[in-house]
Amino acid sequence: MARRRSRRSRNQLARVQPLDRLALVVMTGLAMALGLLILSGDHATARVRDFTWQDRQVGTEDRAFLITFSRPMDVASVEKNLTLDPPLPGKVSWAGRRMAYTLTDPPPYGESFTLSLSEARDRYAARRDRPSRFEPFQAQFQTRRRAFLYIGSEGDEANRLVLADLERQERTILTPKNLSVLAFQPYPLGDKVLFSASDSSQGGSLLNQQIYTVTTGIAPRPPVDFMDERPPLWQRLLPQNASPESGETTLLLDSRNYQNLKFDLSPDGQAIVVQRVNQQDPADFGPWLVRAGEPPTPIETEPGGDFLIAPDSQSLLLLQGQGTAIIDLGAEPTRGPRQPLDFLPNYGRVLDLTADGSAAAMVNFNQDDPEKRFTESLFLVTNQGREEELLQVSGAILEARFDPTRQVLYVLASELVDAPSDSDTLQPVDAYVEQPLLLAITLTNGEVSPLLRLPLRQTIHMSVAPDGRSLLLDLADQSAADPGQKPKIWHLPLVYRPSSDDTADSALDSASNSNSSGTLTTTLNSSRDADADAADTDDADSADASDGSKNPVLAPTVVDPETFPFGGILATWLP
Amino acid sequence: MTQLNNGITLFFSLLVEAMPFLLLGVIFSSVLLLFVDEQKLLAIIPKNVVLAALAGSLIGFLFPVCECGNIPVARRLLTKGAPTAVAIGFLLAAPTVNPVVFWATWIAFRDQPEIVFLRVGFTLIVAITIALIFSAQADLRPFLQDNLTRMMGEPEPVAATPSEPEISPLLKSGTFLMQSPGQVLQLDAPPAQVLAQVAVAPPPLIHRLRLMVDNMVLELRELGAVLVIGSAIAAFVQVAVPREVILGLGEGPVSSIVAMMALAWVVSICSTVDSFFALSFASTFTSGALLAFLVFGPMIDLKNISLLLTVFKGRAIIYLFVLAAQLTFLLTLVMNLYTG
Repeated sequence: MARRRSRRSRNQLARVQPLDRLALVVMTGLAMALGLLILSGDHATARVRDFTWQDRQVGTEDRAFLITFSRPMDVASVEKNLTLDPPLPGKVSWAGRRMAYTLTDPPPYGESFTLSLSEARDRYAARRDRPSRFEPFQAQFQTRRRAFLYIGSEGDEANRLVLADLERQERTILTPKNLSVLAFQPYPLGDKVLFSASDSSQGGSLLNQQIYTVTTGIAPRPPVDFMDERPPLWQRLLPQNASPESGETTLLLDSRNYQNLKFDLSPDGQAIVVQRVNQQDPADFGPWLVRAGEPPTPIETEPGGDFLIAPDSQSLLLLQGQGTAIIDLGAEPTRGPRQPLDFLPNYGRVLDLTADGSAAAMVNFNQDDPEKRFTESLFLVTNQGREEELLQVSGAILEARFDPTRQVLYVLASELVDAPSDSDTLQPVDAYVEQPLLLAITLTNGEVSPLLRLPLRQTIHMSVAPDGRSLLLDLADQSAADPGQKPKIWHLPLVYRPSSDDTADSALDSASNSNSSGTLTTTLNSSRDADADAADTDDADSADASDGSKNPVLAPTVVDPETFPFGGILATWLP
Repeated sequence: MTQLNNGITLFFSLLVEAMPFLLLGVIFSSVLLLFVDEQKLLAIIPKNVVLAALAGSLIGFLFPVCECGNIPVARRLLTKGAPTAVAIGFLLAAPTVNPVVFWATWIAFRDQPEIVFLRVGFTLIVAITIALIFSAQADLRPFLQDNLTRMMGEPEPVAATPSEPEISPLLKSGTFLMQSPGQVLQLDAPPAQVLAQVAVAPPPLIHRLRLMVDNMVLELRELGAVLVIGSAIAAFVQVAVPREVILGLGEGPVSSIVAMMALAWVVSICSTVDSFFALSFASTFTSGALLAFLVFGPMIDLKNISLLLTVFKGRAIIYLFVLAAQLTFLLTLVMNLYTG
């Protein structure tokens, strides 16, 4: 009985159920639909999904763009048809549906480029050798503006921060009249400037400088870094504010309890280090760290002097005693002062670091070597521990700046020369003056190319354009004998030529005929009957000349220097 | 020898990856058993079949489990008397439509946000469609394993008229306790389930927690053993048929989908991490093929077929498998052939 019942129930279960019927019908229907769909063929159009530089403003630090296609592409057809106008040489590499284009040279600033891909084939079509649909693609991108900042010297601009835009040929005064700007540094995208100023409306003296930021009116549109986290979707959908107002000043650090002496902005724009001294207690003196949204905190370390934030924005190079200490700017140590990460005992000054932080230009005052006393040496110190003497001068090494794009170091240095005979004053026979010179050192072979002989008795400041195609030089007369003499800003376009022996031989020319303070003299054209003081560079030059002929190293030369119709000091390119 | 090494590595990686989620699923299932009153559960589930399927598909947001953890929960839903649409919707969609998987997919495919949304969208379409097909069957018991049907007790008398004589629960095999007239308690069911049926006075919390742990151990032992076998089979197949062979099946717009679906079935990777696995193919395969991998893989794969066999009979699994494959193929093929 029980067995019969169980057999019956099994029969009942095995019976065709409604689900069986429906499932079979749907499965057959779907199979037919799939068959029809496959027979109908491929109707898809390959297209460019994403171009990382589309409608963006590109700077020197942007070296490669990515193009993402909607499906795997035939590499040859894309590379053949891709055009950039004006052309930018570069290398193509592929990773699946993505193409990367790495520029060989940084793009020149102030230009607009068009990328177009009129036709291409996807890989499926290429394999079967049939034509395929492709949506032609065209996109624009720009490089950043060619613009610089300076502190004005006359009229309305006096002591105020001014933005000079070379493309639009216009100048904008950024800071209000009551603030006398003393120093400034642009933020990495050029949208803001950090500056120190004293407020004359509050009777501020030079000792009461406060630190501010001001907007430049430039809306940066940097390319999205494909490695970075993307902003949330809602942020991307929000309309971008077109052009912010220029001249919005914000106080960042007051001088109520502490005087602010010198500051440096980290290359990522996130941290500021300020040298501060207590108004009441001058022994309370040292660098402070200011981060956005956090109260300023003193960096507890040994007392130090001049400082510079390293390119990684994580460490501070601080002059301590007879050398330079490298101090971590990261998280606060749990107890005690910050211990230096490293100490470079020989170098009394750090002038500049390369953008990747791999090398630094440092000055050795040659105190330990009796033969070299009263000279200064410029050293290249790499993070591999290599220390190479680039230059030794009898005067002083004033400033050095790495070209952000090439292996070139621009140096302002001075040599002691006989004082020129001056009709107005009487001078002893052995009078010397410091003759300032502008030099370029090619780092690949250590070759020194003198560029310009500069006027005497000047305060000189130099700025290298972010695309490495020109220099700004501003000269202010130190003696101030002639109050009518306004500071001048020079624009020095650079051309790169293969270096030759000619330029090397004329290293550090004398300045016998350059006593007028208003002109620059290119050393290439000057006579060579000089007492070349810096003979130590000659050895290196002759040794490297043979290398240069095999694989020509490009050395810069200045062409057609021009001066601007306005005057100012501390002219600095926007990044 | 290398193949043996590879096989063992694959086996253990599948197991290590799946076990925590199975444990999570078992915990959820036990919580459902002891802390959720089925009457209340049934009351909040919509009566409309489509809405019920959608509700089931979205339960994943409450129980973020992957495809191995959802089977005990789906099984529990069925025994608790939830409608078929809810259980099937949950079974197919929960591994994908849940916050953990959504977030993981978002992290992996940040630069192709449409993949993230289409993955969820396609999964819902497939899950709801299959749930609707399965709801055509009012009484799912012919498609379920015998021990499960025994646990389920009688289905809700959906079509039966009240005048029809009620079938006594005593007409089933098992040990019963006759209480007051009409009330019968099955004694050979696991203790926790017996207790859950005696819902008159809920036992103290500490007691219920102990019962919950008991039930967890019981289910984990049962499903864990099955998972070990499933992982072993998946590892064996992967050694026997290397991934390269499957991927080599095709790179065309149609064959790439087939290849990626076959890959998803064989590698049996957990839905919480499969987007990162798929990311390595993102540059060589079309978006449609990637979606096929991401939609089909979490629904049915080689490893969880053994787990599904603890719930369904072979016929039902074939329907689930074929329908899920066809629907995924159809949706992603349209995408590949018409949008690129």
